[in-house]
Amino acid sequence: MWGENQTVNNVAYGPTGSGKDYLSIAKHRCKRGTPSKRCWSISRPDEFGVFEWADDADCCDGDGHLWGFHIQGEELEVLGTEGERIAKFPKPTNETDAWHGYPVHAKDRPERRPSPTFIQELYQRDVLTKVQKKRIQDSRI
Amino acid sequence: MKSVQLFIEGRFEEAWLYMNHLLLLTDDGDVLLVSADQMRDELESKTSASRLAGVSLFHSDWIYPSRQYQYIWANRLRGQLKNQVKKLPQAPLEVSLKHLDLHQFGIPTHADTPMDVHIYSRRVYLGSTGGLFSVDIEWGDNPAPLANWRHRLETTCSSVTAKYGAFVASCGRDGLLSSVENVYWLAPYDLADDEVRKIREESQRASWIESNLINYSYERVEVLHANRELIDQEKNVQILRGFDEGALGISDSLHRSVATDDETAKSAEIIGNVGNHFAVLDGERNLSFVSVAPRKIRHDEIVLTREARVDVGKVHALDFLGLKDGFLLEHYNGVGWIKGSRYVEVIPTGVGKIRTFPSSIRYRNVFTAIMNEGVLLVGLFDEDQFTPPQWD
Repeated sequence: MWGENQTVNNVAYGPTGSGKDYLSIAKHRCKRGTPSKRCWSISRPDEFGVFEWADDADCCDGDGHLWGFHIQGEELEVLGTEGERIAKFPKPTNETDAWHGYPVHAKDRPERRPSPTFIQELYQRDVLTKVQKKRIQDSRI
Repeated sequence: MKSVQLFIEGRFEEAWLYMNHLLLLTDDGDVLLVSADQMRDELESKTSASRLAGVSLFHSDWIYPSRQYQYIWANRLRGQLKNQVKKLPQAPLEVSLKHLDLHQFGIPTHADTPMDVHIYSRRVYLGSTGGLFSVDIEWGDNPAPLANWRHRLETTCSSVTAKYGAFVASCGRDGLLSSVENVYWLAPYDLADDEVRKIREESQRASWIESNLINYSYERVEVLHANRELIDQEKNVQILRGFDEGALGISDSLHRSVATDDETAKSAEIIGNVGNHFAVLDGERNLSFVSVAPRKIRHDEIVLTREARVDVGKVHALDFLGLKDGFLLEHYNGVGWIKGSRYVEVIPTGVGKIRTFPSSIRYRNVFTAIMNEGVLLVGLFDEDQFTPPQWD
């Protein structure tokens, strides 16, 4: 069972079914008046829900990063303040570190977005639909 | 503003209408070439508005004529087509590939994740994570490749375009790359070379603005001035000889052109361009058309004119494409047709990718849409086209 441990700025969640701890960090929970960059627009529990979904679905690329989506029906819902619909959870530097994540656009630079080959793999595994796959691969969302 | 829709079930990556064929790229890596005439015959047996459906999808030059023979056909058919408008089915018509003759060949094994297809001068270009490939096709009654696929670039290519005898490939951080091609109409001049040149360091996609190129990079939209060479004065044959070294950034100018102040300019978003018409969303998500005076580009300045605003509602716009008659706006939840200040929703659900063919003869007001379970061909027409011209 996972709980919620409040720190000054960050909120800890987890572990997930596979044993990963998660930290919803303040930097990506941007407050009003601060520049919105890679900021979640969904609640902290939903942010952790996207991470849990990515972990359960094994949305892990060749570099060990997890990628998540806020899927409602057939839609990839917005999860970032700038209309982002993809979440990146970079692989922690140390295995024992907690994971964290932030929203990204498919049109971001290659190092910040999921690779076309990885998205193809998610489509072939029926994690993403054709429409979702094409939009991400074409850098249109 | 009406549409005729034809659905073909299957798992497709790409759908292009070219010459007398529909080219489909399947999930399995097969290229299927389907005869447009055969599809039209199948379609016409499925609706009482058979002539209108067939013409809308496969002969839009008879509704939107530009040459004498097209005007003759348009005049002959005008009354018949107008009478069939009310008989048009509301739901998409369907044809099955099982009932059509297919000409089929594979894509290279190295092109494992296809990213883009472009057809130019009878040549098919395939951008993929394995690089850029090309193959010449014989587009006759029994279409087939004339040779094996050529591996043109080894870097991932997300987008390809071509003009003036050259391809231009957008390859992300590997740059914007171009090469003059030995396409069929350049053969008499023995001028073609295969040297691939890097034009810019970064590119996600590119499109033409008259004789110049718009490069959509990660953080910037810029205009590149193309240098052309007239190699045959009599036939006015021009080829691309490269681009000026510098580029003129236009993102800020476009953002400011639809904004009331610096703050609202920050939230403006450039969706794309069709020739010198740019579609820009302002902070309120209203779509504005901003035109660029192309002749000014060469002199390191740009003149922007905000032409019109179209109320498209609060949309997450994804793409902007040209038709013979108006524009298409793809947004997260559908596709709409823009004509003048009018906006009509054509497809009410999200699509994977749309293609238009405004410079073609037969498909100038047609688009294809990749859907989850198949491909949709959509012919668009305005009933005004069936009204005879008033002569003084």
